[in-house]
Amino acid sequence: MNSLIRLSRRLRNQAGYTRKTRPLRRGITPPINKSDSLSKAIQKLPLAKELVLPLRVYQSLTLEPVVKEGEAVLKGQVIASLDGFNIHAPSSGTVATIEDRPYANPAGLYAPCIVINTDGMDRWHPSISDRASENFNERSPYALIELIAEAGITGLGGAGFPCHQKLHSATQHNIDTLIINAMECEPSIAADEALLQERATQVVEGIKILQYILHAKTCLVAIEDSKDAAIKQLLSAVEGSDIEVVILPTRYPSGSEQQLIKALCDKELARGQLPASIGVHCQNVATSYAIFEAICLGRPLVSRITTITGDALASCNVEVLLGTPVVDALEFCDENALEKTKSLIFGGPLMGVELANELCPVNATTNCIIASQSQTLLKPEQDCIRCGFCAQVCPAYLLPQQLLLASQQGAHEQARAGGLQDCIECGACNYVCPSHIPLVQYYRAEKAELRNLDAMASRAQHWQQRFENHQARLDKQKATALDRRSRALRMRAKAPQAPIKTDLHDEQIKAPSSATAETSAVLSADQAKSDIQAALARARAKKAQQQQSTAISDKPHPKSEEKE
Amino acid sequence: MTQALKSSPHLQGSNNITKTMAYVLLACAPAYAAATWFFGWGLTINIVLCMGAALASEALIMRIRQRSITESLSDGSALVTALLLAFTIPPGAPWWIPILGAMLAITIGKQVYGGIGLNIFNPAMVGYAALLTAFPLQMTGWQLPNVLTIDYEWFSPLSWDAFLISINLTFPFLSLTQDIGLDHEIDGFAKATPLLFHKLAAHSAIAGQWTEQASLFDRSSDVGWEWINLGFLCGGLFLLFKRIITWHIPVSLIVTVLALSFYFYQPGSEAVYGSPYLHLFGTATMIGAFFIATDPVSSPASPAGKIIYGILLGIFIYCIRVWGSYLDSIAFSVLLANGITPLLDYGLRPRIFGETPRSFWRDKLSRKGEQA
Repeated sequence: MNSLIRLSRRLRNQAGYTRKTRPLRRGITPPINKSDSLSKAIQKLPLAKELVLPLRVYQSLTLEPVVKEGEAVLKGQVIASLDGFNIHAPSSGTVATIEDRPYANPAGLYAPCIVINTDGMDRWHPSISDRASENFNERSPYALIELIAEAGITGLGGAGFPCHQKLHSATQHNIDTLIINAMECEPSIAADEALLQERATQVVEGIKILQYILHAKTCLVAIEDSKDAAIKQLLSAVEGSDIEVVILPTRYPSGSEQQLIKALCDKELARGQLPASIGVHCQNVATSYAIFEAICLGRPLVSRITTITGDALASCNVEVLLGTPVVDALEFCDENALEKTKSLIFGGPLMGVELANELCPVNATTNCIIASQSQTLLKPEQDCIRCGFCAQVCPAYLLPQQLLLASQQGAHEQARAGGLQDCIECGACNYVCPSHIPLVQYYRAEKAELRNLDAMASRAQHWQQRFENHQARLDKQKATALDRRSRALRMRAKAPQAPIKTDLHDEQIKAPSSATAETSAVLSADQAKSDIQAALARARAKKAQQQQSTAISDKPHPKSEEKE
Repeated sequence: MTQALKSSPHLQGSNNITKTMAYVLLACAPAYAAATWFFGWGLTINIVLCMGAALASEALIMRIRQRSITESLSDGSALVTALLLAFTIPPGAPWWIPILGAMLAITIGKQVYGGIGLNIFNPAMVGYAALLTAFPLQMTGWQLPNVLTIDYEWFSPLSWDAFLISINLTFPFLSLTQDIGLDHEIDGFAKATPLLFHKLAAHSAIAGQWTEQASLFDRSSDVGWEWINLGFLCGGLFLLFKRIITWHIPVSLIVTVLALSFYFYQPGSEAVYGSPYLHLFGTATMIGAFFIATDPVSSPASPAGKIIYGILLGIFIYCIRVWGSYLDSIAFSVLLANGITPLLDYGLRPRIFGETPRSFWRDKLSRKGEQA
């Protein structure tokens, strides 16, 4: 039956099947669950009274506010900035306050945010119309990347990595394939699909800008075969250009970057290897749309398209201003949504983040909001029966059952050797597990453990090195002291007769003989003075060095904590 | 609204242990049908006794361990163990044989290690091996066909009379057979396994009635075993199709057994080795390959480990069967191979995504490539 459906799609969208692909064989096919929200057109969310914009954009990247409390701002005006990367006011109004507010993160933490009270006018900043340019070809690629940075565009698909940094590092390499990811393989999320259904031409314009920046020879737009309407729009939009639409089977997680590159280019990326190193660059369709808006219309990233779904409300796709509190979005779909909602998830049901607070603002990576009436009901965990279903679906070719055993037993090296760090946390193993074991949660804990161990090992190595250096210095001091002492004694030996002691150790323990006590006391007083000065100098140098080295060695630690 | 936050994934599929076990039970149906058709009700009685004893002992141990009885009984793993054990016990064995076997399988085969998923050895085979070594007489009672005394024209293995005889064989103290006019000197109508027949034919004066060309469809001949094995083959293919098991173990095991039997077989001679056909369809190879060796708990996890496991198992099966003194060799081979499983699990893992074959073999830890 499935193959029949596939065949009929294949016949309908022949253009998309010209390229030889290697689609994902593993993975899962959960219920897609997107037709509800796609049955309606994209709606505009009414303006919220308050917009909350976290200054922390990507992991440790925190911007500096450039506005003050009480200042009036216009839509599109820069309100925070760092190294040419900006956050803009999503609507006109006044800056109410800059304070810590809850934001979307798995731990339910607070972060500094700029809070804007909107005035309901939604007036654009006048500079917007100046920036708009029809012809991007007139500018250099670097100028375009700068514009993208100024527009504050981050990746709108997954992790939210700043787009300009990604493009900038890609220009260092020779990129021959640009992949535009329109897979959106996770169930329930339909934001990209809705975007393509309604604004495919604009998306394609954005793709052309990316193509121009990267000088990519091949440009592929990858899309799942279940998105019929989007494929149709996309195929008509790319007509006449050298952009190729590639249709892949609907399967989770075929939209993951590594898996997509494997499917399209038949190349596998090792952990930590950048796609640019094999001449590939991936961008999301929503990002291309944002780039189109930034370059051609001069509009910075102030809104995105989001799917609002879940059993607590009527599903729909909305265009939402960044910073809109989730509660406004929910109440737009259903007036009583908040009372009904027991659990809120940003992102899809398989990789999304559960929110601790309904006041969390929508951010650039919020492609889906799931409001469910029941708490995410995970069935009780049973013992692993080693059925191996997880290994059959793992897109990273791991043996999840073995990794689980290693994680549970704290066999860290075994977990590492089994490739735990290559786990992409897609949750496919979790989905098929007949014992309902939350495998990914065990892996996350074990990954954190491994990171801790690594950090401890590097710290230990650092201190060991310091200790060894210290020991070497001491030895050297001892040797010079010994040398000096013996030389002094030898000099004195010419005048009065005294036994020459070469063993410093003995010297330290025993008191000097009474015959030489006075002279040695005078000598040692002189020596002590110079010794003290030398020691002071050494200490100063050491302190400076220490400060420098701790600054270096401490740097990775906050980052690693961040990831946890 | 706030409760303890859960990390992703928030979605689970509909798989559960009960469903998995139900598929395994279902996959045994063709073989069960064939066995009942050819050998009568003896197997059914064994299954009922084994399952009852298995559930009872599982419940008892769960009670002692203070765990949820309903949860562990409803997962169906005890039923699968019981069913596989029942297939290995000769029909007509006295009632305490299946009961004792199932109790041993569940208690010392499974629960002493910590229950489901933690046993080192295949529980059904532990039960079988314990029975075979303790009660060899009862466990090898796949009697020779007594074609002289039982006339198949009026005596179908599925008839009511046959049912009574089966019951009587299992519970000798009931003496039901006198009602139907048979004296209870008939102590068996289950047939010899072809393997036993072959072994006997090779070693004794009984002429080799078993021929390699024995017809598949002749119900009155002694070839029900081929149908049972075909049933297991069908069931195994069903499990493969349903992805309950993977191909690695059955294929490597069967290929090994076939290769060895081809190598040693001398057509025409009455030597002990037996034909490849006999090894595949006249013995317990099919149930072993698809149902017993593939028990996920006691077999290796990685594909490479599974293939090595299958090959080792094939070698063990062939050697013990041909040169050993026991009737068949699945149980002992499986137990031996189970012991090797942890070793096979330790070092072997498949190539991870992104690893080139070269880096996979050379050094698993130091990867080439840019670090992000």
